[in-house]
Amino acid sequence: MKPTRGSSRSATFLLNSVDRLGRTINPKVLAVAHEIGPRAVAYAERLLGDAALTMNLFEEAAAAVSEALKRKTSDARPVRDLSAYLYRTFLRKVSLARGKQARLETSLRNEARTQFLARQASEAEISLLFDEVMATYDKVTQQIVYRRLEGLSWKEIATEFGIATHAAESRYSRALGHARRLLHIRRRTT
Amino acid sequence: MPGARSQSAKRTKKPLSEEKLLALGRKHFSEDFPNAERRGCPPKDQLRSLAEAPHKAKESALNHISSCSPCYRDYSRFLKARKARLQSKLARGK
Repeated sequence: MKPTRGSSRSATFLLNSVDRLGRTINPKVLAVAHEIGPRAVAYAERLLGDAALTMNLFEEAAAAVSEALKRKTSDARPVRDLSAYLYRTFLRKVSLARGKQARLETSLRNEARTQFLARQASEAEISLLFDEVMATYDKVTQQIVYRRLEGLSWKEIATEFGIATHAAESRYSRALGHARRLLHIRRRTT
Repeated sequence: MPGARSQSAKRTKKPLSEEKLLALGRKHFSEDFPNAERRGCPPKDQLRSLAEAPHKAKESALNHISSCSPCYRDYSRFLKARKARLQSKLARGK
């Protein structure tokens, strides 16, 4: 017989006779699930903070217990306390989900921290780079760099200093390249 | 091979784009040296002359803007005003 979805005992607690993976829930398990379900789900919801996830886990636990019950009946090893068995299964699933959530949160936090530190380091390096240029290069090169920072085009810069566009570009990249190399060497030696 | 780390999973440091480099440099000079009391700041005329006539500019003013954010911001304003003036002159000439 095809299992039906949507059987319910109370207005607040609804449990289907199949779980979301399509596994049938044994009628005995379903009855026990309706007894312990509301309290168990409310408790787990406080731990996980997600009503839908909690309900899914409870449904999965009920389906898993139904499967186990089938096996144990054929082994002639009956389950003594079905409600305790279901509750333990559910708690195990909740605990696994909590662990997963915690690992995900930690990994996200670590990733954000790594990115933040990398960004800070690169900003500090660039500040040093420009300071180095301003401390070591001549007046014209310094002004070319300032003008470039403020968005002037190479043509505009070249016209102001009466030099070729290529010369302005070359002064700028030489200064930055030299400062970059200097900083790199200093970082390796300190 | 199963279990082997794929090449794409390796992290490589991306080179910084020119725009990003310039933005960080601009931020550095305009924010990292607050000088709220304006100690040792040159008169505005000197900053204006630095922006408008770079050859005639005083070296002391040039050295100062590399370590004073308020003066750098003033200098930046003068540069932008000059650029706008030149562009409008160019547009009128066409």
